[in-house]
Amino acid sequence: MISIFLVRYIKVFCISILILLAFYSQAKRLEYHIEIKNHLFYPAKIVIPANEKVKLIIFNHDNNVEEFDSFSLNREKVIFPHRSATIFIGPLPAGEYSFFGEYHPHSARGKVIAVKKINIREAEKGDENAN
Amino acid sequence: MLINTVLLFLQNALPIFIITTLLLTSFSSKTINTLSAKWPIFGLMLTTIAAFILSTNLENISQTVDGKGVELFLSFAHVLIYFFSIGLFILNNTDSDILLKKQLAFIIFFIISCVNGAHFIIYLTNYWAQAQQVESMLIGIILGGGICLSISILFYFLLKYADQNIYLKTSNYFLLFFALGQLMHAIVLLQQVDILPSSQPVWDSGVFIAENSEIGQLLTVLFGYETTPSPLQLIIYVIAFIIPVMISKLASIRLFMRGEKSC
Repeated sequence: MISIFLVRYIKVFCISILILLAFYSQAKRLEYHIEIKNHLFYPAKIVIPANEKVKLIIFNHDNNVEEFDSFSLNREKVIFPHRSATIFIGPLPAGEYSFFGEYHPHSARGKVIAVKKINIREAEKGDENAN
Repeated sequence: MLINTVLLFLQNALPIFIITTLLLTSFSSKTINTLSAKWPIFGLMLTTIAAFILSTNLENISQTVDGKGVELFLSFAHVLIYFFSIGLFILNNTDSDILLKKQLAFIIFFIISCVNGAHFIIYLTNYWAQAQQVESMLIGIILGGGICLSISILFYFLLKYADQNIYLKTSNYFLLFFALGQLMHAIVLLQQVDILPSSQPVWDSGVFIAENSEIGQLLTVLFGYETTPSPLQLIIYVIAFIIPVMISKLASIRLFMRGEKSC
């Protein structure tokens, strides 16, 4: 009896996942590029629109593996040497969200700044020379 | 490098130590004593080899499915851990099916160790070559191992005490919460590659317990603690908790009804 219910639960779970995947369509997101060179993020500050999901493409130019990690963004991704990785972040309320390279936490550090669309140009101007 | 190795070791090894403790408490000491020593050794060797194979292939996996390969692979592994763990959670209500329980326990240990082990092996193999770092890494591993071992021994005796003096199924419920933590991890991974929808977090408890703090890491492993959970995570957490509990209660209702009939 228990196994019947357990199997039913697993079936329902799998069907739900399949339904989700069937309705899954990836909308066009704003793209932001980050590069890792000598265990540093370039740019170290990225200004993104608040309340919008965006795509981060991170390219690792180093010969070592790095891990993009952020507790406030709830993201964690291993980036292999000379490879790129893609992650999606947001929608985020306006504010600052720090990220770091887990394998070089002292040098590889950066920030995602989510701002309301009206202020985005001013914020970008201010952070042009972040590195 | 030393601190970083300790932290990375804790992050990757703590789930393995915690699940080992939970699985040990799932079986009575009599069952463990009758277990032949060759099987755990064989299992450990198999797991280590599998973790090495996974670590060498993770780079190739990462380039598949439009760069989403790792997330899909790992989330599938975490979902499997969840289902095998709830299977064990439900079976733990009965004294039968010892062999099935042992098999489930091994599969859970195998998947968790492979996933977490591969992650740490990638770090080790990449930074081992840097000669001056070897000593720091070795000390880091020893320190991290010591901390994990201390936590798991303490946790084992706390669970034993709680099982005997507070509530008989305390350790079993801890197994369920651990499984929920794995499921939360799978959801985050799927949200990370935009397969599951993500929305603004319901709350931010980072001010009270930061996820990167020692307590935060322990809570993450034990209960799937998140400082910024999304509504989807919360809904799935509640549903994924209630359903196994209801299924396990069905068994006791059935036993109760049988008892009634036999009287």
